[in-house]
Parts: sequence; structure tokens; C-alpha cells
Amino acid sequence: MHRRLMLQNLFREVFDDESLVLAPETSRADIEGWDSVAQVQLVLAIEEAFGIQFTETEVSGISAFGEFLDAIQKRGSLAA
Amino acid sequence: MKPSLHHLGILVADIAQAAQTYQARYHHAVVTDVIHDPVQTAYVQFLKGAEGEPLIELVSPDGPESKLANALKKGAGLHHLCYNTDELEADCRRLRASGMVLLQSPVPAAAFPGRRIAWLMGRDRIPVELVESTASR
Repeated sequence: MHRRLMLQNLFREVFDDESLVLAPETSRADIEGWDSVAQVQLVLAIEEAFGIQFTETEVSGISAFGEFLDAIQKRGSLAA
Repeated sequence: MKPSLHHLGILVADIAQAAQTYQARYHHAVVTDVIHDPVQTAYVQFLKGAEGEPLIELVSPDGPESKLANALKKGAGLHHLCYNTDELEADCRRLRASGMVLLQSPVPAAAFPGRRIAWLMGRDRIPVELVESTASR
């Protein structure tokens, strides 16, 4: 499955909203409930699904869908 | 030595009022003054119960910009668990590898002079604080 779709599905799971459609620029301000706790859940879900580990800087710094996608693609993990 | 439960953190709006409640209801005793931790943007106060039991830490935001302000808006209550550790960095690495996220690397803590704390969280959404058992070199 394409990384972007996988990532979107993870967002949908974390926020329990199957209607979420994410664009690269979709940020914390755009999704209700994307607080620090949700950030941790996203990080853990993405790390498990993609077999990667974010740095401490990334954990607190990533604040948009596209930034997560870039971090995943930078690591060249799993599906293209 | 394995980590041991040091205290339960309870998020409250009013520490003085909460301390009175815990003393009246559960016969806890106040063991510290109210301490301001500017790094954690919090006021804290510790209470103890029976001998050998973990302490209770009452925690409140130190102002509207506090990291705890949003959490308090969502409701006061059980906020975190804190474990004593003899090996802070090693336990941070171990817990990170076990599926937790390191929210804050070891930093000095106003409530524990000379000792550092770190923060992690896992899928269960419970913040976990680690505190060094003894002062850092």
C-alpha cells in the first residue's frame, strides 16, 4: 500500500474518524484533538507500522501530515 | 535495582484546596511546601500516606501558558505515574525501545534538588515520569 494511504489510515485510526482526508499541509490546527497526547499516539502508530523510529526533535516538532510523510520517505521504509 | 513507584501525580486546579481534601479524606500528610518548577510550568506539593506507600503529588499549572493548562481544561484528576530509577538514561533507552515515546530527556527538577527527571508516554496515554534516585554527578 502506498505510504501516503497507509499514513492517512493511521491518522484515521488515531483520531477515530474514517472521513479524514489528509493533504501534505494538513496540520495540528486543522484536526480537532491533535494535541500532545494524540501526537504521541501518531508517533507510536507510525513507528510500528513503518518500522522506523523518530528522533526526539521529530516527535515534538512534526506538526503536519506532510512532515510525517517526509520523515517516513526519508527513511525509505516499507511500501513505496 | 528495578524502578519503584515514587508517586502518583494528581492534576488539580487549586493545590491548597486539594491538599485539605486529601488530608481530610485519606489522612495524608503534607511533606513539602508548594514548589514552583518553571521547567515543567507547574506548582507541585507532595503528600504522604501510610509508611511505604507511594507519595501523592498535587500538580497545578503555574499560569495560562503552562503546559498543563490544556490538560486541566479537559479535567482534573490522575495525571501521571512517577518511578524512581537508579539508571535514568538506561531506563529511558529501555522504555523507548519498549514502545514508549520520550517526551522530555533528563532535566533538573525543582522538586528534587540535584536530581533529574524525564518524561515518557506509551499507547496507554499515561504520562510516566522517571526520577533519579540520587543526585546526578
